[in-house]
Amino acid sequence: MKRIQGAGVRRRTARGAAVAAAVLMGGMIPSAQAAPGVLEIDADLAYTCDLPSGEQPVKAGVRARVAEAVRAGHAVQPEDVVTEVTLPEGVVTELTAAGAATVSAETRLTVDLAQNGGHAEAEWVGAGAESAPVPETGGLTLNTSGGVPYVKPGAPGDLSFAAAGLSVVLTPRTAEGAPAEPRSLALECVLDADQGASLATVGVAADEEDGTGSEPSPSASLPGGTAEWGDTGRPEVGKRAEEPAAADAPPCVGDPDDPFNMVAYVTGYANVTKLDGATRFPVACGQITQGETRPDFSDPGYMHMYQDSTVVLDYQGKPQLPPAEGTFLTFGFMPTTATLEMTQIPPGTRDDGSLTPNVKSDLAIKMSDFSSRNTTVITLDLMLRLHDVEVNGVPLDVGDDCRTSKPFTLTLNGLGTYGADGVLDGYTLGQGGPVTGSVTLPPFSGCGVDEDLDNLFTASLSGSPGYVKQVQGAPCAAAQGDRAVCTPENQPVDVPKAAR
Amino acid sequence: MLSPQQCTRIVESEELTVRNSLRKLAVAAGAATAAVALAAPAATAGVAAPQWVVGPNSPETFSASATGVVLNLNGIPMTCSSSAAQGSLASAAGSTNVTVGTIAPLTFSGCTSPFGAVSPVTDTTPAWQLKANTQVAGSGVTNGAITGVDATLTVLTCTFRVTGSVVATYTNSTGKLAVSNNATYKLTVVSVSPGCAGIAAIGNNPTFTASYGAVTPIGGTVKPSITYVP
Repeated sequence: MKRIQGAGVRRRTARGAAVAAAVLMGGMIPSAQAAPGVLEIDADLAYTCDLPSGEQPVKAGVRARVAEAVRAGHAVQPEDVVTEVTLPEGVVTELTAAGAATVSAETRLTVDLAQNGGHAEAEWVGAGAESAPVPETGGLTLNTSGGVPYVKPGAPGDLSFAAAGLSVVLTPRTAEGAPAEPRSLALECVLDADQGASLATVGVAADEEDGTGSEPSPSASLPGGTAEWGDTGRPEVGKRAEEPAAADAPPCVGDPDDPFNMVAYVTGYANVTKLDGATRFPVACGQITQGETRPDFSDPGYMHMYQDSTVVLDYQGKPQLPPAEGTFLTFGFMPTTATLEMTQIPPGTRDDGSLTPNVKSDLAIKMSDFSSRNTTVITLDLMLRLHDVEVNGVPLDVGDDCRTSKPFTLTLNGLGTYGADGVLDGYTLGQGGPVTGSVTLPPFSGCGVDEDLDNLFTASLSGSPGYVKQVQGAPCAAAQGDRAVCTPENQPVDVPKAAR
Repeated sequence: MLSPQQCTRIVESEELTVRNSLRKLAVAAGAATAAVALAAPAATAGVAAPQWVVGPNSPETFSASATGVVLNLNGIPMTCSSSAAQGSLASAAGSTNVTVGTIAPLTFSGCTSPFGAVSPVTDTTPAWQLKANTQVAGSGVTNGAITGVDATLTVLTCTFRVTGSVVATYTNSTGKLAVSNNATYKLTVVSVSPGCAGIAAIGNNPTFTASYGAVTPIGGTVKPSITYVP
C-alpha cells in the first residue's frame, strides 16, 4: 500500500546521501538505503519569523523517514529527522553585530497530525550537532536533528503529517568561544500562506491481529513522547508514551539557611556518541545557587532580565550523576555494556568567592503585551569513566581509571515562552522542563589492565556529537519553605520523568 | 440621586455661567436649594443620614471568583488562572470611605510568571475591607476600594510581601467587582528576601488587575447590589 502524497514527500533521491550523513552526525545509525515501504519526507517550507529587529523570511527544510503504512494500534515512528534552517542575510547581520563568529541552533517544529477529522500536535525538537561559522555576507544554513515522538493511530484511515509553527533558538559564540551578547536569539516563525505544508500521509489499515507487539521499543528508537489516538478516534494531544517510571530519587536536600539555594531533580537521555540507542540517566540531583537578577532596558520594546546561576551535581555528596548503564557497539558490531560514571568538574570560584555561573538565563519581556521568552544555557564540564564493562556478555577488565582523556563540555539549551495569556510553556529554571544539547566525547585513556584498550573505546564512543535531552523538575528553594515545591525535608517535590 | 459632593460641584460650575443665562439661573437656583437641603441633613429634623444599602439582604454573605488575575511587578507579569473570595456585605451609614463588606478568605491558584510558578499566600486576618466612596445616581456602579490587602508571593528564591489597597469598582447589573490601581489605592512591596535582588525591592508598587463575579449567598446565584441613598 503506497501512499505518497503532499508537496513535501518524494521517494528517496540523491539528497538521501546528505540526510544519511546528517543523521550520522546526530549519532544515530541509519540503514544505508531506504527500506521498501518507507516514505521519504523532504519538504521545503517558507516561514516568516519574528525577531526583535522585525520580521524575517526563513526557509526550513524538513527531512525524515516514516513508514508508508501501518496497522491501527501500531506506532508510526518518524526517524532520521533533520530540520535545515536557512537564515536570511538580515539575521546573519544581526548575529555579526552581536559579535558572533559561530552559531548553533535548536529547532522546535510543530507537526499537525490529522486522521479521520481528528487532530493532534507533535513537537519535533532538534539540536544542532555543532556550531557553524557565521559568514560575513549572505545567508546561513543550519541543520538540527533529534528524536521525535511517535504517533499511534487507534483506527484505520489516512494519517497525515503537516508542518505548522516553528521556533528556532540561535546560540551565538564569539571567536574565542565565549557566549556572545545577546546569548541567544529566539525566532518565532509562522508558516507562510499559500504553500503546501503536508509532510507525509501514512496509510493506516485495520488491525487484523490484536495490535500488540510491533511497536518500536523505546530503547531502540528515540521517541519524545507520543501523540496517541484513543479508541474513540479523537486525538489525545500530548499524552506521553509509556515512559519509564521515575526511579527512586536520590537524596537531594536543600539548605534552608542559604537564601539563594535551590535543589532540583533532573533526568533524561543521552545518545552517548555512536550509541545504538539512547542511555537513560537515572534521576540526579542538582544543587543550584540562584544568581542576582539584572534588568536591562537597552533593547527597545523589551525588558531583559539576565540571571546567572550555578548548578553543581550532587550524588552522595559528589558532583556526579548517578551511575547509568550504557550499551554500545565495540568493533561496530559487538554489543558492549558498561557502567557510565559522569562526574562534573565543579565551576571555579570568582574573586568574591562565589561560584562561576554555569546557568545563564535571558528573560526577554515584550513590554507591549508582557509576553516573554526565557532562554537558558546550562554548561557542564564533565568527565566520563567506564567500569564494569562486558563485551558480548563477557566481563572485560578495564581497570579503575578508564575515562575520557580530558574534560568535555555539555551545553544544554532551554526555551520557555510565556504568552500574553499568562501560560508558561517550555523550560525555565524556576519551573523546570526539557533542555537539549549535544556532547562530543574526547578520546579515552587509562583503559585496560593487561592490555591498552583506549583505542577500543575511543573508536566506539569518541568523536561524533550525540544528542542529549534532560528534563529538570521544579526546584525547591528551601529557605522559602514553599510546600508546593519542597518536602518537609527540604527536598524537591517534583521528580521528573525522562522524556525522549 | 446626587451625592452631596456632586451637588456642590454642580453649583460651583453653574455659578460660572449663570450671568449669561436666565434659564440656567433658574436651574442653578433650584439645584442650590437642593444642595443646601442635602448638605446639612443632620441639622434638619426628619431627613435620614446618607447610607450605602446592600441588597437583596443585609447583612449577606457572598462569594466571588475571577479568572485571568494579573499582578504586574516592575514589568514582570504574574498571572493566576483563578482567584476565589468569600466575605460578607452589610448596609452602613456614611457617604465616603464606608465599609460595606469584608473579604476573607481570598485565594489564588494556578499562578505563574515568566520565571516559573508563583506561590501567593494571602493574609486575610484581619479581613480585607470593601470600601464605598461614590456612586453616580442611578448608575448602580459603586466606586471604592479594597483596603487591608496583605499577600506574600514566592518565585524562585524570591519571596516578597505586598500590602496596601486597590481600586474596586462594583457594578450591580453585572455583579462584577473590577480591581485596579491608582495613585491613592495601591500596593507596596514592604519586605523582600535576598533572592529578590533585581526582581522586587521595598517600595515598589505592583499593579493588580482582576474582575471578580460576585454572587450571594456563598455559592448562590443572585448578584448582590450596593446602592447609595443620600
